Amino acid sequence: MEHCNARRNFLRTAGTAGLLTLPIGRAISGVSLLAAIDIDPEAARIIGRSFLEAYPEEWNTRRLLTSVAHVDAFNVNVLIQRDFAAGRTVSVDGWVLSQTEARLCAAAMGRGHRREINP
Amino acid sequence: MIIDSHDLPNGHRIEADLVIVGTGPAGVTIANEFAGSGTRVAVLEAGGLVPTEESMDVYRADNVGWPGSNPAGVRARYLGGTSNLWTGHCRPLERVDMEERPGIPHGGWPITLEELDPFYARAHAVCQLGPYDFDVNSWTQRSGLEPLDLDPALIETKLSQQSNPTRFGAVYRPMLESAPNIEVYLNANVLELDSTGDGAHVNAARIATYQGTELSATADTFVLACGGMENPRLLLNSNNLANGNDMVGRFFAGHFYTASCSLLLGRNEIAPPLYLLPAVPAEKLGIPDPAPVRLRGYFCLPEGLMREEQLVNMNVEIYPIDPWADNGKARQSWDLVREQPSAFLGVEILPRHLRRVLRDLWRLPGHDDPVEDFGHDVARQPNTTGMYALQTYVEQLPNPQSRIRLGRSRDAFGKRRLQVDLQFSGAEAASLRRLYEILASAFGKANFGRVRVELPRDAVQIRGGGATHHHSSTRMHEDPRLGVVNRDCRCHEVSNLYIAGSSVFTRAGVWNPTLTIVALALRLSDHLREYFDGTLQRAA
Repeated sequence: MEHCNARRNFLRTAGTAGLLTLPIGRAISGVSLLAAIDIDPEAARIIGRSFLEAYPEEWNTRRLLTSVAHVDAFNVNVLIQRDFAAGRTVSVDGWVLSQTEARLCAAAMGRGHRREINP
Repeated sequence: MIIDSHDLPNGHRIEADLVIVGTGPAGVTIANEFAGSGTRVAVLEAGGLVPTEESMDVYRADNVGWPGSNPAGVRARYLGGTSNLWTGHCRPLERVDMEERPGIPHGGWPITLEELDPFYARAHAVCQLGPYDFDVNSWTQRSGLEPLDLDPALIETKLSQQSNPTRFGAVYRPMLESAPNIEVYLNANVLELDSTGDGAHVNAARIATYQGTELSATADTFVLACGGMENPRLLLNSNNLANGNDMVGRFFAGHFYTASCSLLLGRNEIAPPLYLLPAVPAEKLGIPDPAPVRLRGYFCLPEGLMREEQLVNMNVEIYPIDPWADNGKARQSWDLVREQPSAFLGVEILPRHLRRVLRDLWRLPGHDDPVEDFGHDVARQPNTTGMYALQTYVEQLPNPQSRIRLGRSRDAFGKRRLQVDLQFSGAEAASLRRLYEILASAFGKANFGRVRVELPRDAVQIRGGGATHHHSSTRMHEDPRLGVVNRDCRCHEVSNLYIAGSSVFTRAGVWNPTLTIVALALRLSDHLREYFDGTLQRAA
């Protein structure tokens, strides 16, 4: 069903009554992992920041990058769905996200941004 | 015949075989079952044909329990009772709501779902519903409306049907006026039931009008049908009638609703129409009634999971959160306010309805059928935010400490008002949190948006929302130490006094109680008819 193929542009512009506290951006185009899961880079940066603040044990750069090294644009959605099925979820500002998508956002932040959180 | 008690002389005595106190869904259903029979029925309604301030004032109560409780705001005191404020949602109880099960102490009904089933089928006609069928697959075949494809081990779609809704006072008024054996007395406030010295038999109902006239009603049998709060109040104000075990008013419960969870879908994607109150045209159903059948899909826990994890029953409905979309409530509010402006007299929810109307005023013209528009209009247009509120109704655990009792203040008739002490245990919030975890997992697994939970991890109380559907305050139980009425809805301690309505629910599950109120009223009517026919002997 069409509605089952919801793109995960869940941090897109939504200035509705202040309901979203996570920041908003427009979904990016182009081929990338974030595009595959429909999260724009600005949103990803803020998800990543919130995620690392909530889960400081995930901050280790090498481990973080290793954890998402096997993820590619072809399997990312499957991995995310498997996360949900297995209960591998994280809570970021109340949003229940898969561990994989949260780590992808953190990994996509860039070293500089990560250092800001935990230099 | 409908009689205004103000026209009766002081001291007038009403004589009948059966006295019914209250004209809500329970009282009217029982009266309807006796229409045209050889039984003389007197129906006593405290209000008139429309609500008045002096009538509504009697409902005021002191709230000393959960602050979200709103004792006066969700009841109506005139012909038709609270059906005048009913939204119309109908679904029977579920097996898991009636059984005694771990984690739900005091939860088992003395009757089974199978015993209620034939009465539910009859109740459908009384409530002007579509076919007695709540099976999702069969409705999908009829209507083409598909449920969301979620893991059935986690989340199940359940359906309710929406009554028009039936305003029992208006719909059944012709019957009440024309039945030769029925007399309805308006403005007849029953202040007290006079009983024999041992409280084992009711002799008469003492009645007063707003103009100070005092009346009485005598009968062989009395039925209290004045609601989940007034039934116990009348017993307590009648010298603690039927309360030898201090059970009247205990286990008082309501349904809590909260929207501490939201769902965000992808751009241009919409929730399946099944969950947005669609109307299924009668021609698709092959039924003669031209009125469409309105459905609503809910996200619910499977019964097996509720038993396994000892969770209370809950249901989740979705509402679009979109400032530019009419979410249907504006139209519903407009119709309610327009049809019965006086219904809101003294009711605190009027400003909320007016706000909805003002907000979506520009959308009101051109919508002939608000409910149908709601389902299709909203479902077909892209939701510009993709945000949906996951409004959740939560069952309250049976709790003897949650109760109503008489307070110190008195109403205009000098009778003591209620003191409401609604309490819940904390297990409800734990169940709610678990439900949201499961929902997030099921939606994520199906790649259906993402869920945000706004319920604090340490929450022991449910925030926001309110409590409606008052029930269980004179509950049914075979053991007089745990309930006020037996399986026949007769008071354990009073041989000729029956109770109808949600106050007899042993437990209410999570669904709107009206269909079950009507089913139980039909069951009680059959019982009473057998008695008046002489085929049933009543134990002393």
